[in-house]
Amino acid sequence: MSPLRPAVLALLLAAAPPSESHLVAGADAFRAEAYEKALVEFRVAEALGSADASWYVAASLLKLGRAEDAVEAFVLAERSNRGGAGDALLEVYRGQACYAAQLLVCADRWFGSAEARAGPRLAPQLKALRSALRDALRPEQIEPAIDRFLDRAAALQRTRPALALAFAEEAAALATRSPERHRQDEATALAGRLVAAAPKGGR
Amino acid sequence: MLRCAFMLVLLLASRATADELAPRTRALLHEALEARLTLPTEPPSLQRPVLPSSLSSPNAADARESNSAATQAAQAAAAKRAAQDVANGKGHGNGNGNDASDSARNAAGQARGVEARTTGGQGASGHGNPHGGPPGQGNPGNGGGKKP
Repeated sequence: MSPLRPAVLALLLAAAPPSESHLVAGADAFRAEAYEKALVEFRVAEALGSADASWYVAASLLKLGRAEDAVEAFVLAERSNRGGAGDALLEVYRGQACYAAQLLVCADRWFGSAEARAGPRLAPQLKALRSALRDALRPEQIEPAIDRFLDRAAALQRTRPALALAFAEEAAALATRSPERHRQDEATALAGRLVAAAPKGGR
Repeated sequence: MLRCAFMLVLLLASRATADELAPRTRALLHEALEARLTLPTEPPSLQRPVLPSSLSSPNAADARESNSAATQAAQAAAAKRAAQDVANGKGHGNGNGNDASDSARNAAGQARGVEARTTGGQGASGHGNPHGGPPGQGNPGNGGGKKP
């Protein structure tokens, strides 16, 4: 063997991104339902520059029962415009985060997007969930929900603008289903301001 | 000479894709998510969540605090292990000096700090996890994959 070969092989190994081992460790932990550990590993991978880790941070937060944090993390991952965007499985997780945070229009959106590409076992389940979501959007509950989401969006717009955006968009979407278009202009304007203020292509 | 050139090309190609996930890693991540996918079973509702009375009791508050402390301890331990792994050069094989180690130590510290700040504050948010079913339950085993 040429004496050069081990050195070149070492260099090749060195080319692996430093975040890779943390993503693998995070995947192992996630699979083992050690979601706290998975979250830490994915956060480290994210901080080391992994393009994909943010999506898995969000999924781990969901599994830890931190639905609003997960919604926010998904917004941030999408905003970074990298990695797992377009993955149907991640869209199901995102829909679940919205579902658990009572952002039902948001949940329907992501379940619908995933349903179009889901396999024969998952697609019917997503379809049933979407049907239940539509049934849950009862007219008498829409206006109080809009008020609640706008209150949350207003309260969070400075400290957690990504989460505030999710609430404002939900309020705006619900307002289109309200017979009176309850606070629609306000919700749309707030969502627009939060989108405009969001950093482009990064956190 | 030719061999050296081939190795150099391989090295450059490897560097060029360093920002992208290795297919094996992507597959591992996908499999992990798929294995733990459980769809919600409770009916959706727009109504404001009401905390069960059991969660309002002092005992429940104690339990939340205890759980929060345990969670923080677990996260601190995991973050410490992650930082130590990187600092010791384990698992990365990059051997490129201190940058990655420093970054990882910082990252682990930040992760630990962020999680310590946020954990516990969410416990009373009323958004329980409806997805934490038993292993394998409701695993549809499909639905993944990138958009074409």
